[in-house]
Amino acid sequence: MGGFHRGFPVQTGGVIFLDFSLVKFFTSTYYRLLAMANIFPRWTNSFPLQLVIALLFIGGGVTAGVTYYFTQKYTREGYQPNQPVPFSHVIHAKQLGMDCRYCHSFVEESGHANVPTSSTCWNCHQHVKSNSPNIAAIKESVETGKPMEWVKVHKTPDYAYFNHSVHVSSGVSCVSCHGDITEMPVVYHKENQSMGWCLECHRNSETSLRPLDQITNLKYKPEDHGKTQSSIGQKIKENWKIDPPENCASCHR
Amino acid sequence: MKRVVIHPEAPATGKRYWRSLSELEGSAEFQTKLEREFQPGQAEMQDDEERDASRRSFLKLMGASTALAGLAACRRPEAYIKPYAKSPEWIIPGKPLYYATSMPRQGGSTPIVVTSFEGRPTHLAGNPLHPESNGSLDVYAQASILGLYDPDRAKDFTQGGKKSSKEAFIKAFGEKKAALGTGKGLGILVDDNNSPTRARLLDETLKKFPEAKIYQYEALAPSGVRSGNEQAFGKGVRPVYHLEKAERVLSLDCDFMGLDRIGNNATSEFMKGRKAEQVTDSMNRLYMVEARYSVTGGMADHRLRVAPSQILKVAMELAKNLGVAITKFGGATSLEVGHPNAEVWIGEAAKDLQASKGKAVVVAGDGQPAEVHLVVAAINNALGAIGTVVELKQAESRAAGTIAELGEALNKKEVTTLLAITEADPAFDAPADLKFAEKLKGAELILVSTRHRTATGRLAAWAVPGTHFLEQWGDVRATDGTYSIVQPMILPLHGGLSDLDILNLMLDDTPATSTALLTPVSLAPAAPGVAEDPGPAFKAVRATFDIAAAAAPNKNDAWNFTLRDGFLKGSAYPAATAAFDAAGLAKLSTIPSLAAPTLEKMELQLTPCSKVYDGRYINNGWLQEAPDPVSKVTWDNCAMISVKTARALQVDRKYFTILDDAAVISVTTPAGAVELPIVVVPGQADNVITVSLGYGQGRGAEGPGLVGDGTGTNVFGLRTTAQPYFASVKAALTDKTTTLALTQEHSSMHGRALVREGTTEDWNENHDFVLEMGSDAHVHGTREEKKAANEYSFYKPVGTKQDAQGNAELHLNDKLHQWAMVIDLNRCIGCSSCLVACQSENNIPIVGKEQVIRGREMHWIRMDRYFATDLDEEINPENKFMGTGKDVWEEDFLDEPEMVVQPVGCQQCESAPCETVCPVNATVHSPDGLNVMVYNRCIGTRYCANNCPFKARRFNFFDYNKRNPLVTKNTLGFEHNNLYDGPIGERWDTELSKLQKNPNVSVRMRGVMEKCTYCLQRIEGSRAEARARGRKKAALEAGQYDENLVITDDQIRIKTDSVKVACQQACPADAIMFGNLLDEKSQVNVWKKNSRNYELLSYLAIKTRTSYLARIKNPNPALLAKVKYEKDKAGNASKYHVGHHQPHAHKEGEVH
Repeated sequence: MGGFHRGFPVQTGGVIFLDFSLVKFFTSTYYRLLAMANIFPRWTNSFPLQLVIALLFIGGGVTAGVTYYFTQKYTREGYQPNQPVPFSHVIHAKQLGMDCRYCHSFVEESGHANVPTSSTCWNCHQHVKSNSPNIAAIKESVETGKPMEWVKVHKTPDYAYFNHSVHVSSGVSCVSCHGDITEMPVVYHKENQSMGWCLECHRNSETSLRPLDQITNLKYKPEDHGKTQSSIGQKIKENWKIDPPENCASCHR
Repeated sequence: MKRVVIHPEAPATGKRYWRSLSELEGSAEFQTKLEREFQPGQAEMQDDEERDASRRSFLKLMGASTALAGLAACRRPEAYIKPYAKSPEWIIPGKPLYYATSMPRQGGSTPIVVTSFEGRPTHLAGNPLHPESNGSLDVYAQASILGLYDPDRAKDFTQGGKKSSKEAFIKAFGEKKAALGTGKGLGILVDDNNSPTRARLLDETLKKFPEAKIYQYEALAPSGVRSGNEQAFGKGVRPVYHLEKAERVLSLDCDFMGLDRIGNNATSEFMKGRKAEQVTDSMNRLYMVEARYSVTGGMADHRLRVAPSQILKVAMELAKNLGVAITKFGGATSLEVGHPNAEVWIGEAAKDLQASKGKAVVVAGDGQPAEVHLVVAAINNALGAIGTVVELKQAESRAAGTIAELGEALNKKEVTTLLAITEADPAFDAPADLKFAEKLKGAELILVSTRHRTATGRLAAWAVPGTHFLEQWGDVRATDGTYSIVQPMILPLHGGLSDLDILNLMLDDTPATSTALLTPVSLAPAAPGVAEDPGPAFKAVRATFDIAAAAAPNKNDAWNFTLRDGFLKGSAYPAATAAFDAAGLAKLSTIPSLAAPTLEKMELQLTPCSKVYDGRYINNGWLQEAPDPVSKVTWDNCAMISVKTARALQVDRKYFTILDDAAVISVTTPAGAVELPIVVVPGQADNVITVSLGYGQGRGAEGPGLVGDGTGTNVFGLRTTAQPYFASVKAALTDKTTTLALTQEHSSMHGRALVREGTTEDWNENHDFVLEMGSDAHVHGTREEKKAANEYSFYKPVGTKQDAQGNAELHLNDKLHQWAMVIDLNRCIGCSSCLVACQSENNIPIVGKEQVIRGREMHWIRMDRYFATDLDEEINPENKFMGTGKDVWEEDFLDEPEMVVQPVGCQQCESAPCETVCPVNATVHSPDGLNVMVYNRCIGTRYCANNCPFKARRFNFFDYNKRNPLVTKNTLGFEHNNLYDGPIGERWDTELSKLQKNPNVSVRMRGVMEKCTYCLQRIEGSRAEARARGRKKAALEAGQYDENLVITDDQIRIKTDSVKVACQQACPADAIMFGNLLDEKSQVNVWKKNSRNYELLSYLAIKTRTSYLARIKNPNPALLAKVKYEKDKAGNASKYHVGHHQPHAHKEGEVH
């Protein structure tokens, strides 16, 4: 086995050069075996078993990889974690009819759609259900100044930069990416939000554009106003100069 | 189809530009370097050791990744969003806030605007509102933010070297104070900046402890300047320079654009006078007299090389020529300054200054003694500069002891308790003859500093962590006296105390201050009706402000404006009534004349360091890795000597150019001896050894910390009270060698004339002279014809995208924005501020000395420094280098080369060669004209870097951001850098270091190529904002929100020149312009139309978006003629005759 380590790919600063000595080793062994009377040495007895086990491992790895990276498990579709406070968008956004921007106040200003501060909750809740055990955590946060720890549902990868403000100011509704949040007692990851999914809309933006005063109306249907999505979408795209970028630099930097 | 590009030869006349002596010589090593495209280590693993290490680390990597494979398959960890409990005022999550503050500096301050993300300062820029700033920063101020997050900063309160606590210190301090009585034995040592509140509190301290003494000290305080000006104009009078008003500037060893701070804004003001937008613009002229090549010397139109000790003679000769009544100095009969042309040079310069009377000024360096400054004051008085270019301001003058007086007091036990509130390190940097460290041992030292790992820190009875200027309330006066505010950006990271906190503790006998300082900041909201306590330092500053703003009708308003703008309007010092007092001049005749240095009696010149200043920035990795503007040394200081001196010292030829090893010389003075690596710098005065101060602060437990550990050599030991900046020394060559990390030959570019320059005369003669140079000279015709010749393209003219009508669109299809940059070489001084600003903005890691030697520095913009020599001289038959094979080193023309600098980053080629070779499309073009790098696609083939004609791409060989490159490890006797340990290596991406990172830029990892992006994050941020705001505004104005609303291009276009890239913002000389080519109002279009505009390697048809404006020199024709004449007289007749050799179109009219 002397020098066998040379068979490993030698990594030279990012590029893998295969060392051909491994190939040579097998080739020469092959010819040596052919030349010998006793063709198969003893170790070949267990070789098929080894081969099967190796193939199982490789196959298992590939299966695991595909399962993870090519399915919802990777894109987090359907992810619905428990939150520290059982906040219901159904009660607040649907039944009470609060606008998204009451809590996510900087969505039109900033790249981030902020999660409300505890004091934002307390604006109303100091008057309503202030002693409910459900919002005890909020109360504590307001009193001590310690931040709440909301569990993150939607997460952009580190190398991608998404900007909320430019989307909501260009006629893209919350519902396009987050689904109808007003129907979610506990928020879950509705769309897969992969890069292909982003590009689909960037290439056909007319399917998602709507009037600027209907952005936070998650129930908006053009049909209710005697129009169709195709009739307004294309017009918005042209009149508002909507030209969704498809180049890498618009999101990756 | 393969296209072969024939590289045109550079023209055989004019000037030759070279980066290093080996390039000039065309040495074998250099040729190898060129042909290899990259340095051996820059693009591949280098030697067996590294290969071994890599094999080992590969095995480790495999092991580790197998182990981690199991983990990765688990559900990814939960991440949390933590909103504020209560919204702080102004903060919008995800958007930065900008605050105005100031950085206290020796003698003044630098106005700063801090970028802060959710309360986390990440980037600094200048404050353009401030009267002393054009919005730029010098390299130290730019890098100072890294000091805030320095892992080796003072963190703990220590007593006798043992960890203690804030409570214990405040208790002990209270007891100490009570025992002081009237202050007998108390000394207070403070920095040399100019804080009104500190001054006021010190005055009050003196009232409370009348027997206490105040001392002020910084190693590089310009004592000569102060005492010279005091003799000339009276107490507290401070000359403030307005260089923009000067047509002629003569500098006597004053690096006013670099290390000598005559004002915060000197570079920008000088550049205003050097405007060259049109041929008709009259440019200023700079004369420089200096020993070492400085960045200011590089800008000079005429430069005279003399030793620093000879400057006084030069000043007096100049004064005599200008008609100042001056007694001949020291009885000298002739002007022997060690340069044959000196007398003629000074005579002609004087005539020229005289001709611009009232618009000419002379400045002298911080390192020059009082006599020089006195003579300079007399000259400026005679030139009528006072009142025009030089404004005299009456600063308050305060009595404070010097370090020598403190040493004496310590010796006599007059000071037994020393409260040192200082960033200086007197035990290390005080003059050697004082033996200050010894004396300090006799007293009880209480040190308040952000630096405890210093010689002084190790002597302290109590060491108190000080606050960084970004963590404290304070105030400071700028050079012209403008009251500037220092406001905290973040709570003290390590709970330290500021200078004002300590002085407040000193003054307040009630428990109020100590309670306030000990009360931890509460997150909980204050009870209704109770105002939050802003702390004692704030109250003290506010009280001082009320005095400073006594004239303001409403102090609260004035205060709020001051917080917003960073300074109080109209608070500069009043004009001084004093006039020049010639009485001091008479004394000059008694000063003995110093002889010019010789080989036996060399001269040592000590300068501030372009990297560590006086040593205080030794732990700043950005500064350590920024190459010195002239020597291009990183991570070290060195002895700079001239070619002739190196030859005389019998330095082996191979050490004239630094490839890896540098020869070492020993330098001996009566004060001590040191051994220093040498770097041969053409243009240095002969027999002068220039060394920068501040390095060599020890290693390990006795060292300054991780970054500065063991770097450089300490030369403070050679510095004495009498001779702080230059002294006679003996120098000898040793047989030792050492390694230096120089970047001067990295990314060399085959000697193709990338940098172009001409004289005002050249420009006048041919407005497009710049296109008659380098490769452009080979295409004949007008500018347009030349441009048309390079219009072929490697790309198909159309892209794959189709517009609404189904027509194919050009690949640059953004109709609103097309970005471009212009760099004006006439302004660029080579200070490297852009380089550090880029590092700060773009999360660029440092790589350490070992990796720099391998050519792997990550800077996205590099500063090329060229020396230029006259080809006409080289090819002269009498000049034996070309004719008879005489050694290039023996040539005279090497003595006086010109210096030109050129910053080079990615040129953002429209037809980018890097893009065509990337197998995975990781580098592509964006529609607005940027060549973008997609990190998550990059697999690290480095083909792009190989195909880049500018060598502007950088490869992450290791996880520099994550793994610490500064640690050397020893595993089983195998010494290796921590980087080679791969995933098991020591990390340094701590919570602290992460705080500095720009959240809008990816932190790149191992195996990824990166390069200048034109600050893509700033462009994209502005684009999103312009669109979001533009559309919303249009809708609101029209009152229409539906599909019938029509939005115009102008409503969503980024406002003219509102995107500034980091390097542009940082540039003290305003040499970089960035903007939108499609916006006619953009300054970048104005600059592109300048006839000095040229593109690098235009014949490659790559259509670079970055272009350069050629440099214009404004030499004095009379002096040019005379200097040549003098050379003739010296016996080289016929050597410089006009038209002696090849005819040369655009130079014919030049006076030779």
